[in-house]
Amino acid sequence: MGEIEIVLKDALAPGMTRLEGYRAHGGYRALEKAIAMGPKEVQDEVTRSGLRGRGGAGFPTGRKWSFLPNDGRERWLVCNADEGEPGTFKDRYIIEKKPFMLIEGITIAAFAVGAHNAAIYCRGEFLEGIELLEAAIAEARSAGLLGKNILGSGFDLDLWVYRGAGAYICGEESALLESLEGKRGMPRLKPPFPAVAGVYGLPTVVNNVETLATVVAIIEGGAEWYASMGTERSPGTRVFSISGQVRRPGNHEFELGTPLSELIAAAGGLGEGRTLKAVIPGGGSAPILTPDQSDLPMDFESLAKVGSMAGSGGVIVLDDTTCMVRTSLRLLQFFAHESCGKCTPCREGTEWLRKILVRVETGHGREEDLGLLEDVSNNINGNTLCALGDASVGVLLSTLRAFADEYRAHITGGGCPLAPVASMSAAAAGPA
Amino acid sequence: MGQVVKVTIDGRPVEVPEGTLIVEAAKRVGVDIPVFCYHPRMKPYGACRQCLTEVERMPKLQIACATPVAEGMVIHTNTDRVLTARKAMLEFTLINHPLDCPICDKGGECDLQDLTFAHAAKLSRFREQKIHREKAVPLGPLVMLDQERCILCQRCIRFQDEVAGDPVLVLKNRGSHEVVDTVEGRVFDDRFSGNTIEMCPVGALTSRPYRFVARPWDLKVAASVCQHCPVGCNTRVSVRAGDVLRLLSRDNDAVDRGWLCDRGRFGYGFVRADERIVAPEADGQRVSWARALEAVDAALRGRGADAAVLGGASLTLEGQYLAARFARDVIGTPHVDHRLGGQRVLAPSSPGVIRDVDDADVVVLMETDPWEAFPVAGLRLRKAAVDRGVPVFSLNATPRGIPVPTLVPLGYRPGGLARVVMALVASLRHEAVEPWLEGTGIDAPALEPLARRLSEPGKALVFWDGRDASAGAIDALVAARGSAVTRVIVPGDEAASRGADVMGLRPDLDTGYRPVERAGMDARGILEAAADGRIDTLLVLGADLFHEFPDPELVERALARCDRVVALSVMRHETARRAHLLLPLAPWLESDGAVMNMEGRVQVIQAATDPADEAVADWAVLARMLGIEVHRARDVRRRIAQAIAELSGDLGGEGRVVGLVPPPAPAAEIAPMPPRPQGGLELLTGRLLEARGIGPEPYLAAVASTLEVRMHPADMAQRGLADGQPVELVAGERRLEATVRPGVGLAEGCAWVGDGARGRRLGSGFGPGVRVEVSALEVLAAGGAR
Repeated sequence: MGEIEIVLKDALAPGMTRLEGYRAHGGYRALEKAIAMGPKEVQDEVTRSGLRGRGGAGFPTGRKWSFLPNDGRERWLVCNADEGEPGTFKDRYIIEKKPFMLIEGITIAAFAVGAHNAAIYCRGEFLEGIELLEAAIAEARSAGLLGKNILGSGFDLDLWVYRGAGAYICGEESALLESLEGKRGMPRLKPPFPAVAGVYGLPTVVNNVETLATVVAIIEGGAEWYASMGTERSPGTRVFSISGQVRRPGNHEFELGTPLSELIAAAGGLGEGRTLKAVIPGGGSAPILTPDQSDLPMDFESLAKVGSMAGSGGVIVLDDTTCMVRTSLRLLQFFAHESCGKCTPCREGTEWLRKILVRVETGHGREEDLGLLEDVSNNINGNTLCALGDASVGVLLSTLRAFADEYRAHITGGGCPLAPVASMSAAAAGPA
Repeated sequence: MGQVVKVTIDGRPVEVPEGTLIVEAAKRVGVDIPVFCYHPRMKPYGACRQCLTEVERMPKLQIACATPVAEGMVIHTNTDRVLTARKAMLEFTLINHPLDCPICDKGGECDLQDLTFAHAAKLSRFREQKIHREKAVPLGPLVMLDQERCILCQRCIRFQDEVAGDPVLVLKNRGSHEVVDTVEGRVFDDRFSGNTIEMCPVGALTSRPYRFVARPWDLKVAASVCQHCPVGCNTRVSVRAGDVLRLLSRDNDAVDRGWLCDRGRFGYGFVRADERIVAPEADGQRVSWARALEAVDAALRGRGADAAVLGGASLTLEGQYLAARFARDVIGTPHVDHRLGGQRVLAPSSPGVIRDVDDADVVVLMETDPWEAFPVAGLRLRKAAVDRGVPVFSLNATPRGIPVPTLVPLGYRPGGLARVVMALVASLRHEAVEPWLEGTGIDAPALEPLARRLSEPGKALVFWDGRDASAGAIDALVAARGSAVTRVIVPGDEAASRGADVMGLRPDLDTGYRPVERAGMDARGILEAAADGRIDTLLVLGADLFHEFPDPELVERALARCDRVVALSVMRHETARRAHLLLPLAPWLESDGAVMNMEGRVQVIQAATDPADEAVADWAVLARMLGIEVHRARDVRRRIAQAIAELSGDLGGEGRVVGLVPPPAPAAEIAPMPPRPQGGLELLTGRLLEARGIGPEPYLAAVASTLEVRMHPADMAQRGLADGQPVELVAGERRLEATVRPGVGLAEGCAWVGDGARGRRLGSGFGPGVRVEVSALEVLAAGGAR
């Protein structure tokens, strides 16, 4: 177990954002190999590798591909590049440093599932990334790596970039598809799932950026090689975005199952004289870990077992100067702002929680607020239309449990004992 | 949905078709699962989460509105977990709701209020500031939005999108700051807009005419049937202290599926309008009923063929029956006709019903526009097109376009329908179609998709406007395809045209389509005879001849020449003003009785309120004229049942379809097309919805349309006309100002004008086939560059 670069390999090599540079580092060998293998074999290879989606849910990629019905309808592949999960910036890094690896991965995946149309739904704020992707797509097209008869294989693929408009919810795949169709981005009722009725009602695979980039490595190195890394049920590597109160925040690729402490160390560890207070291990939706869990293996099962989740791979490290109420408030601000408003508990509940937390943080809390926060969170949790509702209360519920005393201190002590805020409006305005 | 599955709901076993939603299955065992966003006539949406239920072996609570049942499913709707969630969802819903029930129109009949009393906690735990929003946003001329009351269930948005096909409503902003609004650049003026008010589960959308007018517990409700168009949508009429205050739907699956159009929903203001006639009048003076009836008797009894009877297509069935008796037995005239608008056939030889839309494989619209002539049945048509992909071919029917995704508009010259239909018949018989299409302005390749579709097995449903020239062709089409799979519906010009037809208000046939000894003259013949002095007395039954007959100049000459004009009328329209004797009619909202819609369905109506002043139900007026003692509409119906057995017994529920059709008539010769006129355009017209029914309607004044001409884009380009440009139409000496827009499926060389904008008919000067010139209207530029 340890740091190993597969997806991030040569990410900083000069010329990687141009086709020539990418090819010089072995780019497009995987596509050639894939074409030689044929679609069925590519799909089998990915299934055998045990690759699990790197977007958040960790669903096995090969199985997701296999859900497409064989009913003769046109199929679509959509790359989810709407990376908006708090504390997550790995997809952006892949797009900006290795755009061709993503395009190659999309091409291989489309070839495997028989899609002739593919779209990259990209977070609107990734201006630089979008420009790079568009230039890379143009280059790939003129080199015969996209468009008609790719590499003489007879396989056609059209790929373009769709720029999102800045809504977190559009990272939820059905909301993404709505937005891609030009509608307001709000989650769809499921079933039907995208595999059956996705873009314009057509069978659609939606895969995350890192997932698709990883496909390149799997085809090149083979399923056995890939599965030899990581753990049995979480094979391979994963790019972790490590941020928070570490000395050198950044993206690091580790084998799945690497202990949390190694990740923190790779990011330069905590500041001088600071101690670990908590870690949000999988993006802003993931319940927190506490210092006693710092040797927890960072894989899907281990995190699920302790009641958190691997999520987006965004690891937010919090030291002893951090106020947990403030942390929950900051996240609820985010989720209340990003709730699409379609379903009642998420729309109303996140805003209600935010308002209570503002009061608690500014010293206007009441004793019954702690029970109320928990109760309202539980009323949201599991009852919403999409996963945003559950996500919004992950950190709040876990900190209410692990840091109950700190919450109580806010109420009894008339405000934040760590970093007092002057007013409610200051608290509501966001973090200092 | 073939298989039946067994499920258990709260311990009660029930068998329902596979795929039934839990919420619907629960209704079968008397379990009412609370909902806000779910509406049984729309697709599940899953937004409000109010209907969360527990399904064994599923870890999360499931929404009953979107979860289909499966064999063996065990469902609980009253466990602690479900009740907690139900309470929680209500608590969330109420957080930003203003709780202004005491001043809310919906108070007392509000889903949120009812469910709160039934399921919510007594006190809210919400102690924060509520989000404040706009309280009175006029979304359109008829619908007002209170943003604070809105619980964002999106029923209204989904109705417009899914049912009406006019997605004018949208959500703006996000999360708890979300509001319903109209899409930029539009007001909410869709013709079905009022349905959103009725389906709003709270008081967010309110009716502007009804806003702040009444409390529901003060209202009495009567069951009625709308008489503004021939669909006959079922309504609930709300009345307080004798005033009709609003109309709501009354779901009849066979007819309206619970929808109303705005023409119907807001078409009740006329009841108290100043134009109502409220007492009998003789030569402009108010007189007693006794004196009026004496005068009527003196004017009409035994006059025979010197007198004639016109109209009757907006009366109750009972009134129509007694009118036929009065004409034939008291006056003794054969000259009787309700068909003022030129329709010949109301009950086609292979009659269809509205429900035939549901399993039709192809629908053909023949010169009748669903959105103008039978709007709510049009929604059913749209649903068939959207859900099942049923193709809808439109033969000169929808030049303005209708939101039916499978619409195939086909255009040809005015007067060409018979030949176009005969071409289809020829194609079915594997004969040459070209001879039939000669000079029609449409060619065989354009017609081919329809011809092919008709040649395939499957059920065809034709909506036809019932004009004479094409009657033989329609019969030939039915014969060629087979009547079992080819059904025809004629939407009447007036709401009860079909009833008038069956009751015998026509010159050739008496009640129940019994032949008469000597056929009389039709409406045009009667008016010409009156204008020539061959008829000197007219009895007009409810109709405004100037409005319903296409040639107002002939009406003018006829009325000017007549010695005696007796009119029964609700409103003081132009014809009523010209009458010597005037008897005040109570409209259907003030009358018991039965009415027959365009499919021959007879439905019973209840008087919602007492007649205004001295007005009397039409059947009661005619009974007095006949000198027979009748106290109830039912007594008249009993007499009709002696002639038409289908009308005996209970007519409740979905009503009863009377499938009587007239004996076959010899088909008219199908004439060759006249040559195209030199220069100019040939005119097509279509009667607009706003010019139907009883009016003028004060509540609909704000949605009245402007005069519009539709043209082929090539004809526009040739004249240098741009979309939306003001133009002048010139036909001979007459001219009209209108706005030009490109037509949908219009043939080149044709122009279409909506007939009846702002309730005014075009008249014969702008009748079908007339040659018109269209040119840009010089408009003075308002300031700006010179």
